[in-house]
Amino acid sequence: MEHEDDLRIREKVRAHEQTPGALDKDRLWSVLALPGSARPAKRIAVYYAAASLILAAAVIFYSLELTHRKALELRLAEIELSLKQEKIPETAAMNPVAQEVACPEAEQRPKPQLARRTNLRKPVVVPENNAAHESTPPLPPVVALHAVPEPSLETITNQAPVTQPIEDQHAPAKVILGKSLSPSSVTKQGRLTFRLFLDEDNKSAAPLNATPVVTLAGINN
Amino acid sequence: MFRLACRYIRSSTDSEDVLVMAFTKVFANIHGFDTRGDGSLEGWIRKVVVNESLMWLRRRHNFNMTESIEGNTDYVDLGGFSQLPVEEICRFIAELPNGYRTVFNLFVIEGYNHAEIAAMLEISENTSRTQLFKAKALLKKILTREGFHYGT
Repeated sequence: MEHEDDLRIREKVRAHEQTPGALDKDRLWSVLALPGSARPAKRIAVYYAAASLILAAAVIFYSLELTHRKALELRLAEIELSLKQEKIPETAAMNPVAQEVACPEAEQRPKPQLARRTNLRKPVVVPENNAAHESTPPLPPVVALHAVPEPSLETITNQAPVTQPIEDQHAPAKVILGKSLSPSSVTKQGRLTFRLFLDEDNKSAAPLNATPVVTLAGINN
Repeated sequence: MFRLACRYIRSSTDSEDVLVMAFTKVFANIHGFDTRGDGSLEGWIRKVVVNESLMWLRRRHNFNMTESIEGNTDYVDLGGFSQLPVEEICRFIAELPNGYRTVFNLFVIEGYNHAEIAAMLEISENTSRTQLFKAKALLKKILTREGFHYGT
């Protein structure tokens, strides 16, 4: 019996201890907060209230500003309209110079005629009996253009042409600097002479000074 | 564990300090803990908190549990007490003196026997039994005072 009572009390108390307790935030913050400082929850609420007040004041100010601006615009529009309506008679009375003056009829000038193309190739026929054109100078007669002579016909033959090809007619003289190709240019020592021009007969073209001897040993290797 | 500490130490502020010290020891010695089942960790932490609470009580209060009643202690019926709501049970236990409350908690709620209680509190087994008897008798008086009628 006593043991059963003790067991019953034990079960109840242990079940109660295993039940999680509710968190008391205010008490917790009061324990954790530094001494002398306000509670963070209250501080945050104050901040929220201040921010909402500022926001509301800004919204109210902006709406008032908008309505005031609209009223100003309406008033300006009315003033402009009234000014426009009164402007015409007022300007006439204030500024007589600006009045419209009736001008006499303008002299009618002959309308300028469009210029037309004149065909110079066509022979101009000058009417004889037209008195209006007598004062104008006579036009020169049409002159035939200088005809290009036709080229003479050439017969086709099998003989080779005598004339030099067009390429070589005006080509400059070929100059070889260095090795000469003719066998006579090789001296007794087996050295190659130095020639300036291709034409070997034209000795006047050779330099007055002795031809420099260039040794090209092993060039044929 | 906070409610457990509050059953031994009536002040909530002191219970918080005891709880902090107890969990400091738990975290410091957790590497040496050997898990054996689902409730083993809870039981181990519970033991640490109880020991820490007893150490706190021993430093601040003199239990003076030297008196012992020789002979058989009468059976105290706490049937009505066990049927009360748990909040009332805890409230009545908190009204007991330190010595009575400690032995009652260790024997009835924690489940220690008198030999273990004697070793923990450094008292004799007779003293432990006497303290328990007196605790139950006092609880019965409190129930009568509060107007709870029970009958056997």
